Amino acid sequence: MKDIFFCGVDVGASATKAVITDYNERILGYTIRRTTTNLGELAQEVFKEALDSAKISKDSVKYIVATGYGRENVDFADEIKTEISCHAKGGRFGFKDQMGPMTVVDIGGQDNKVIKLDSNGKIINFKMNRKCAAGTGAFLEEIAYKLDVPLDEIDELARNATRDIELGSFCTVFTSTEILESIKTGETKENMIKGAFISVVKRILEMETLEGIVVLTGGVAAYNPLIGEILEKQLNVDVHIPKNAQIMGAFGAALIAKERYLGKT
Amino acid sequence: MGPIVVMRGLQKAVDYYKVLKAEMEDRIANGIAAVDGERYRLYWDGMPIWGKLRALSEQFGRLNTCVVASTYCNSWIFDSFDPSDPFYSMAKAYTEIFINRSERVKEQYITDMVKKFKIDGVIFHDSKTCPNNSNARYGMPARIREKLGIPTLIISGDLNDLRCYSEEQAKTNIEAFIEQLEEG
Repeated sequence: MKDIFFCGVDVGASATKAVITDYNERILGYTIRRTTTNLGELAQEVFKEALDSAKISKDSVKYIVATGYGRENVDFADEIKTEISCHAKGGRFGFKDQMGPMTVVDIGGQDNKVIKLDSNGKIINFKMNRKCAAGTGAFLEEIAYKLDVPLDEIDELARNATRDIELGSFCTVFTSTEILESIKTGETKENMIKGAFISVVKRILEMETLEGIVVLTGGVAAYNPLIGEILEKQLNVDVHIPKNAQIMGAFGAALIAKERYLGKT
Repeated sequence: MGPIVVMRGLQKAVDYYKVLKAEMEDRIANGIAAVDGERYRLYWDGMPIWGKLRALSEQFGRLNTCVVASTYCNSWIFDSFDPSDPFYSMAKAYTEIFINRSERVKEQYITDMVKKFKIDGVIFHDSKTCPNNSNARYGMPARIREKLGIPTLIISGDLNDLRCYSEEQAKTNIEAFIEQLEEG
């Protein structure tokens, strides 16, 4: 069993990820690429890059599960699973020995998911945002663009905010208008970015109640841990962001791949 | 449900439902299910997403899942109509219909349907332009889930305006809902 490996490929709206795990559910290698228009080709490339990163051969990967909105384009996958199941599996992994319920919140490029699990890790309810990218990664991308700041600097900038400003909406379009208003009145970029982070948190809390251990997955939380800290303050509970939060969907897919392979052999 | 809405009271509608009833009885007698290899039975609350009936039907079929009952189809059946007492019976029929009732009565109605049709999960369609036929807004899904121990799902959409409907998100939601049922 030592030489068998599993792969999860997550073709998300903004980023495509592949993760290779071993029999002991350790991550041996992974890759993250921006999602392009040729999903099938991109999936092949991330798979190859993840293999190289793990330093293993394609043939030793015994089972591949694809997830994400482009999951059906991964023609080399043995099975497809929704991102709901995969984020639930990946998000829970680091906390599976803890008792009690858990809520996994995935803030993705274009949609948010709130997944409630019971103490055995079984999904009891989930919610995805409506036909609107409010409060998602796309929302923050737009705000960063409007303020002319690089996306990878927004977390640091928001940490230097001097006050919490309340943006009236988490709608991307309306918030952009509000940002223009704020620019006119001389509000700082730092305060406005933190205001956008607060909007993201408000959007999540509006979607569903969060119960038990709260785990944030997805690229937005990975690059902007301040969002977790704001959520923590609002809820007054510990909010966890796993290491490699952005690849939790692909990791969950790899964990499911192992389960499916062992179930079939 | 087209004939009962647009051909109410006409012989054509009566003839149509006679054919339908005979077919259904024949299927029951011969054990022919609507969906081959049926694994799950769902209840659909709220209006249909008319412009996506085929796409949804095909998706449920692929998932070996059958939507066996819905609130809205029965909204067009008025058992209380009585030709010998038209005014009283019309008043009774229109006031006792599901859409005009309280949350408590609606909850009991859905509960009875879930038991009657051996339902595994309930999908609530939250229709943007028909709030009166959307029962997901005041906690009904959570109450049904807790009371009956079956999962519920809310799909955002509309009966008519497909700009309010995200096909990809709905598709993923339904697929994830079936994965949730598979977990047991």
